[in-house]
Amino acid sequence: MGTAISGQDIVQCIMNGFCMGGVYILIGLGLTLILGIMNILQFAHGEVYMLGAFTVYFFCVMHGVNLYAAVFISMLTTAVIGLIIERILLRPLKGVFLSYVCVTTGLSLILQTVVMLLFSKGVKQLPSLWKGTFDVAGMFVSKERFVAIVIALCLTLALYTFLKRTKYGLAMTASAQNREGSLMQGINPNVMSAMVVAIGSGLAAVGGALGGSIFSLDPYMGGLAFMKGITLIVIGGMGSLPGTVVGGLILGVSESVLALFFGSQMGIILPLILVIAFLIFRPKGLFGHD
Amino acid sequence: MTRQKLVKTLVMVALLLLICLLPLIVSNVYWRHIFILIAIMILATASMRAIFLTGEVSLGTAGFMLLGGYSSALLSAKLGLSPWLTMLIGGLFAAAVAAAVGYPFFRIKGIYFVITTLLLGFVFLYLAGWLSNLTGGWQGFCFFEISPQLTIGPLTITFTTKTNIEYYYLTIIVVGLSLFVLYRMEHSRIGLVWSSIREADKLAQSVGVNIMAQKVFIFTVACFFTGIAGALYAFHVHALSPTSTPANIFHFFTSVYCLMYMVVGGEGSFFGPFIGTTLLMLMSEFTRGIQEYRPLVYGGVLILIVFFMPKGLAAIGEYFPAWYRKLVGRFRRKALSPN
Repeated sequence: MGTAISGQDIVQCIMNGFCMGGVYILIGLGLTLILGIMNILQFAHGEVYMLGAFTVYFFCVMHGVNLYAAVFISMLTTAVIGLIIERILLRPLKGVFLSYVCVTTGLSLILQTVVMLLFSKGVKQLPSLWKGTFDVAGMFVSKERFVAIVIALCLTLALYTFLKRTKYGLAMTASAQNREGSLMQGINPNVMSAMVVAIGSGLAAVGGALGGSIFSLDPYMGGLAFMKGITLIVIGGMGSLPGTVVGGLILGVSESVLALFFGSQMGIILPLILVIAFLIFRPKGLFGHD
Repeated sequence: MTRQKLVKTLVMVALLLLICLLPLIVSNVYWRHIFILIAIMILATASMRAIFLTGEVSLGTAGFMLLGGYSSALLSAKLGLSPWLTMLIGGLFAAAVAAAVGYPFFRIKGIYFVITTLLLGFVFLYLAGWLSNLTGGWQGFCFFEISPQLTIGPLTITFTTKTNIEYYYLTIIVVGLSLFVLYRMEHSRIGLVWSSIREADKLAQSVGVNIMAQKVFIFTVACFFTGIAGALYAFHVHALSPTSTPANIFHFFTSVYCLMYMVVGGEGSFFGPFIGTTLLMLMSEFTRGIQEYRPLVYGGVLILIVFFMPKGLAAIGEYFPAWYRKLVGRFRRKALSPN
């Protein structure tokens, strides 16, 4: 690249990377939980993320609800949509491989088209989470990115606490580790999968809101987000929470640093090659276990 | 039994005749374009199904079509080689790449294999855009019509898109030959080996089947035919691009559509891809007026087929008796329940 890269650029780029990483983590957590417990890759998870962003858009921009309240409403609505998806589409399939690949792909096509018809095609934008910038030692750090990172971190911590400290969380972990064994202990796998899809969808909705506020939203944003999600669950190790978080941060930062030095196309292509390398040489991922 | 066979043969002959006479019946140039596309997609879908014979789903179809299409078109346009040769080279190139990635890829299976092949398709797409010196970059790559002649005895075949009748016949001959090869493979001993891998891979391994070699082999063969499909497409439209719009045939959506054609047609039958591809592509042509709703219809059809016709349309005769029995059984149970 011809132009010189200043310190400000690098700080901004790393901040961007963390922020994108936060959004990716929120998508990846849902994907990895669903994969762990139901043994299903939710191909429509990117569309759930898009749906979350558009619910916020519907309440906040079209009906003037406060942005943070809209994010909360969107989280709940999308969780309910997740419950419906699980009950009607995923549960009857019992994890038959080709069937659920088809059903979730079909669902993603349907959701995309429905949202496109309801909200028309163009690119939209949510209002900023927090306008302005911090001035840290002469470097400018935008406040909205900071807020996005904080929200993502808080939700991840909340999920972690839920899984490690509460009865239902522990039941969920047990179900992910050994389905039959936990069934013997009286844990209903159907309840667990319903819960996990609801939680995953809610998290993805918040991710969509953050992404839609910092970048932009359109009905086809889910495809790329889904790809990022699977990228980071592969890097982090399937079903591993810390792995997903670290994977997300690595992915976000590496992408934005690469984009700064080699142009945005390289920022997209290298993580993909990284994933393929990971799947081949270390299928367990960074933190995974068999 | 013999009567059933006779009917089957008659239907086959009638279909074959229809396919051969189609350009004479339908004289519209646009419709011939659609028929050529359908033939190309049938080949791509049949290759995807060939990989599925070992139980793995590959979503890299679009990527390997891109490899075949770009390599053959570039060789013809830049080096001036004959399309007859480069079409083969395009297929071989895709097969070579498939053989190279096959061994590491098949160490993982199930959903992880799906993820890798899906991402591989994206890598090819972005690489085609990134290597702009070679491929023309994101703007895409157009080349003029190359119409060399091939003379076999008294017959002179020309590559031309002026009326595209010749190209239609070329396509169906190439696709037909490829499908014949795939059919013979599936119905020979090696096809049995593949289904044994699909049904019980550990058991197959225990009786001496080299799973890895078989999987890499079928992956290579299938990607060869996928590459050929891509090359057929390239010489048909003379314009290739790596853009990520859903309309681009080399984009990931094509892989998803192929999966859909396969499942709707019935992945258990060799003729499933024919039925699925033809019906769905014709359906999408007839619904051009409501083009925006197309993914909605596709998605809905896919989900309904998975839930109500798990063997696809190829086994449509089996469903009605089953539904009938279910219905009658329900009434019978109701009649019996008071006792």
